[in-house]
Amino acid sequence: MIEEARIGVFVCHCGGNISDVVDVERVREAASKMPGVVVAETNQYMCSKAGLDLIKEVVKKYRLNRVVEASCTPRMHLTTFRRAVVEAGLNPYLLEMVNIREQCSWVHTDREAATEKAIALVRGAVMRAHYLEPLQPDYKPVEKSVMVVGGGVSGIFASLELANKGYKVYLVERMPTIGGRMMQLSKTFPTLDCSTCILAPRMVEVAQHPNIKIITLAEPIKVSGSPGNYEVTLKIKPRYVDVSNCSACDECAKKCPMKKVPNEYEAGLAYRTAIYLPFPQAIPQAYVIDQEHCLFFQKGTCKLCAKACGRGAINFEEKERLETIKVGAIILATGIDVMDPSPLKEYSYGLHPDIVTNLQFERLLLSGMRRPSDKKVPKKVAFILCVGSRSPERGQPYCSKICCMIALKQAFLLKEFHAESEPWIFYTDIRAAGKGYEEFYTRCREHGIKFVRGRVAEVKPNNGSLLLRAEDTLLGVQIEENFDLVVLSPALLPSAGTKEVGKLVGMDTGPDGFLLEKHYKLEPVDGAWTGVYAAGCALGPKDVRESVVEAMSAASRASTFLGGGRIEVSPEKAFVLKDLCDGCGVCVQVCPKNAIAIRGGKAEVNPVSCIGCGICLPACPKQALDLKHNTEKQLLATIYGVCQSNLKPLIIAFTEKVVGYRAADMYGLDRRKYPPNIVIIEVPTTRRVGLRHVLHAFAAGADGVVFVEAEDNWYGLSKEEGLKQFRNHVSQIQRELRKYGIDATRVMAVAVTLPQYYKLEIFDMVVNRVKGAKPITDEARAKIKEVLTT
Amino acid sequence: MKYAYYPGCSAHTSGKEYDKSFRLVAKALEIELVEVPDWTCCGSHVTYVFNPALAASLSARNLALVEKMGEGIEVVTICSGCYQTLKRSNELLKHDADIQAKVKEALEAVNLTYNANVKIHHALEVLTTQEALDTISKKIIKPLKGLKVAPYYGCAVVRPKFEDSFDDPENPQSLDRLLKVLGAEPVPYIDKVRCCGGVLIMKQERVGLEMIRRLLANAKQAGAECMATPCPLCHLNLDIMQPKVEQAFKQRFNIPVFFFTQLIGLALGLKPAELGLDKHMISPISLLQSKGVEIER
Amino acid sequence: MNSVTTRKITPDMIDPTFESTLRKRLGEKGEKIPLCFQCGVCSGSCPVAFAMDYTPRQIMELIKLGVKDVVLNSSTIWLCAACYSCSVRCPQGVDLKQVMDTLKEMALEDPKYSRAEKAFYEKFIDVVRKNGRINEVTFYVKLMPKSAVMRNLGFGLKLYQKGKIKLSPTKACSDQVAKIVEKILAKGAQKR
Repeated sequence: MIEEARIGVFVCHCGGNISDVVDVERVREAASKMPGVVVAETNQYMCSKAGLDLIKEVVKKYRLNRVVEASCTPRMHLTTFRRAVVEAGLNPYLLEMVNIREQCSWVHTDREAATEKAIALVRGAVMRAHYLEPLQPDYKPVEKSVMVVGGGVSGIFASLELANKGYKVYLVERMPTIGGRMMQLSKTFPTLDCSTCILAPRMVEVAQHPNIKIITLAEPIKVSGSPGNYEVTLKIKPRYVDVSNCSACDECAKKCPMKKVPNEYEAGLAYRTAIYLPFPQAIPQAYVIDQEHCLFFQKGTCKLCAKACGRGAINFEEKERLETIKVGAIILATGIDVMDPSPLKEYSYGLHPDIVTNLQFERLLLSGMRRPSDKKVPKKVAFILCVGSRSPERGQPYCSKICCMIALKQAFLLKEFHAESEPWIFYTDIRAAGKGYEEFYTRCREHGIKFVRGRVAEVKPNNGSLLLRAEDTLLGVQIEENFDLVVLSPALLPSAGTKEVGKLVGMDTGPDGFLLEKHYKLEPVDGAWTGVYAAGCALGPKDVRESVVEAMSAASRASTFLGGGRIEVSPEKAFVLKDLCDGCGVCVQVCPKNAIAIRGGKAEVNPVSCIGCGICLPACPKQALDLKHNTEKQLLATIYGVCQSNLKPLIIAFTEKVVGYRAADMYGLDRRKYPPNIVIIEVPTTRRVGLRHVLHAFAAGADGVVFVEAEDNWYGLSKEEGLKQFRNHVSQIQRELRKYGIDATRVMAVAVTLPQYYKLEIFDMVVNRVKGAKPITDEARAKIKEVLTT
Repeated sequence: MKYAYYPGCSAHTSGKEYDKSFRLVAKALEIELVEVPDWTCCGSHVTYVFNPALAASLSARNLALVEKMGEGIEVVTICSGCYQTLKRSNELLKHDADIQAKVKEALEAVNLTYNANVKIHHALEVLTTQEALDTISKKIIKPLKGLKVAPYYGCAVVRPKFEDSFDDPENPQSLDRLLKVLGAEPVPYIDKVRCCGGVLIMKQERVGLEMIRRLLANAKQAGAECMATPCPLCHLNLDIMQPKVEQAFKQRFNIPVFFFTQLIGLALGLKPAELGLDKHMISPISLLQSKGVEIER
Repeated sequence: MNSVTTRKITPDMIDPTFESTLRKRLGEKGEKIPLCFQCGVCSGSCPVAFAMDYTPRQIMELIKLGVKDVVLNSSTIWLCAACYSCSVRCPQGVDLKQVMDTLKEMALEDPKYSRAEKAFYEKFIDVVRKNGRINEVTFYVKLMPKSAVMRNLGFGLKLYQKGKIKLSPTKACSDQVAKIVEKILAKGAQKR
């Protein structure tokens, strides 16, 4: 508490909006007599230049050290008034605003009562002002580096954006080369660019960029630290080939006796050797030994590659190693897998070489477009969509988004290749919603591609052909047709390990298995943790264009976060009173952001991770936690200040600051009415208010308490969990209050969303209920006070 | 191994040779079959349509009798329709309170109770376990010399999927494996699980005949010399009705259709007459002789 | 191709309670009916669809529109061979085979729809009740018109010679079966 408070109170008429209902002069008069107040002024429009100048003048003239501004909702002009106060030489946190418009003059009709309430609110603010402290935002330096996990198109473009902005980028890729899925594709729809041609130059750019370090055969296994200062441990598998020495001359592979290893890049359609270059444009341009298929590692013999290598680049002694890097932000761009259609036995995948996936078809397009079985030109080719997609019962419930366009593209390219070919596309719906997509669909129809609307029932090998059965639903007839080649469009899945890598950085996966963005619409590339982002197919199936958009977006977000070189941490955070803390760890459990840790036997709050929700405060059995700018003393001062009022009964509505407070404002904007017996006290969340505070409220003279909480909590719990905890919190308080003779009906709770602000009509019910109840005796209140003071 | 044997209604008529060959093969493999005393119709899917509680009751009567035959005894049946019906009844009796109540009352009227605990097997299941296949392969004396067989499972033995279904509904392999063990060659048959029409042959003859015709035509196209099936109704359709199919569509098939137990019997050295091979409408004898499969007359 | 196909649906043809009645009878399985998105896998799989006036998928659509008479008068529900191909493959988990069975049930309950089909089921139960087991010949003779029986005499003779026909059916515990049948049927048609 400040020794010598010199408080100035400013009450606004708001051009009649306030003064029509509230007797502003009386409020000013009453304020001038409140403890610590040296001056009280009014003005028609406090937010006008004249009003602000008045404030600045008065602050200087009276050497004020605290300011109370009673006017409209702080959501409108908090910044305005804080600026004025700063210009007058005071710390912005020494200003307290009182809402006597949206939450007073606009919601009440009785002039006398409304004025009483305004005076009560101002008193609460004045008492609080005694305990306000100057606060500075905290600044923490950040690492100007970013780790990008995944070297596909999304990872590549995110890395280039960041590197070009001057950040150091660690591009971590678990395959031996970057490039990802795009390097397996023929052409990209709808423009039909050569996929590898457009990506390869960027890959070279990445390799040559001084700010980007590519780390292949690597995966993050541990992430610690805090936003802006993450520490990541990478597990790096041995390549057994020295990248700087390897000239990619291919002499080793020529001598390698293991020639029948399934080639991942060719989607299993061709073979490679145990020592191999993944594909010609691989970056790094170096060979790698596949330990599982290498004779030396399996049987201890051979080593022919080492003998053939003219540069001694092969090293069988290389071991797996761990490496730690420090980064300021992390971007997950872990990409996509194609579902194996084998379990959907009706399509006979795996029973005949001419039944392939669309990914395998890309490889066929790039190797002469022949059927795998006999290398003949396929005439009749069936493209089957929705193999495992849009199938809650037998696959994935979601739509894999791009398979329709892939099938259109592939059918188109097939016809380009072999003019006499007959592509048929069997679809459930043709999804061609992107830019240029519908036009491409039109081109495909012009090109003579046949379309049958009906999900294929079965594909069976039939004497050298493939028999397909389906219903043409547009006609209502069954179709049975033999094809030379069948191309399945399997569901697209998040790449293996997505869930695990997401967990490392606090990013959950949704029910579809893909990473969950912070907010579906407004924060589509942010993770739950600050400084963590995601881009591309890791978030859901999409095409190259959208992946690039997200990659650049994630890079921009990371750059915004790290740009200042330091992060500003709001001072309104929880902190530990070390003398009172006994290290019990309850706060660690309840914190929704994992922002508290026990160090050296005492709790410690990470101010960067802490979001200032206040949930930890009432949970602490030793009252060893407090919250800056919403301290225990400040809250109690407001309660006691507000309760010294003639309003009878008096009900305090502890209102959550983001949605609850705004909902109350909207009630006022709507000019709805409720009795002036309700006095709103803003809190970060209602969970910050515990039994102790409620008891104080009753001791101070309140007759009822309402908790107004947001239905969709902002502190990171699922909606169900948040509501559950809210209800439990209130029930527990109600139960405890009975021990003090306070009936549970005096405590009510409501959860609101902004569109449902009308739920606050509960205020009417609360007031009526309390009015109808037997008043709390002075003895009862005195007893509570006694308990509180011991 | 001992089983309660529930033959099903066709065992004395159209499926006579199936019943016979199954008993002989079981004996040869030292599988003890004890016929359920006084067994009656299981209801079949026909009754299920008419009145599910009645079907469940008819099934439950037989299974109640099985329970009386011994603790933990399991049932084997040759009829795919009965297999499906009995299993469906078990499921319903476990999960449908309404059916449970009605069946209980109906059984009480004949002094029986049933606890829905009896496990139900199909002859194909029992004769194609790894153990059974091992025993069979040891006892083969007359392998089937590469006889090209279209393995025709039909629908009821593999669908619907139960928790303890013994084979895959789309591409089952039990019969295929058995045929290989017997020395025959199972051909890749696109319609191995496609329904033959069942009782449609009675209700809508023309439709039924067309469905049978397709199965025969596709088997021929797959290079099959004959077919093997575990279902007596499929056999009725494919063998007994084959001449009608040929007549109706003016097409010649001449594809013998075996009960799979008959093929096991042949490989184990049993006589064709014992196995009822002379009871088929489309005789398999000349085919077997032409393949060099040794058969004593 | 479809021969008897309705080309126009007018408001008087629609029964708004049809779908909900069907769903209630199906219990838990009924909840899947609105999920049908007309992909056509059922019809593509159906071995009898070639002979139906409406494919299984079209029946689902007609159910959702509430065109009760068309559905219960269709040949589809009677031609359904109950092979489960559709149910096993439906991506939304609709047990279409059970839907067809239930539609058969509903048709059998109302003489308006039952036609000749009813005889098949009633006569089947009759034979089982009297004999304890089903006998194909007895059933066939009971069910089919005399002309069909006469037409097939030669065929029947051949089968008899092969021992595939039992002229007099075995009676097995028919009294117990008869009691069961009576008890259940006394409760009236299965109404769910």
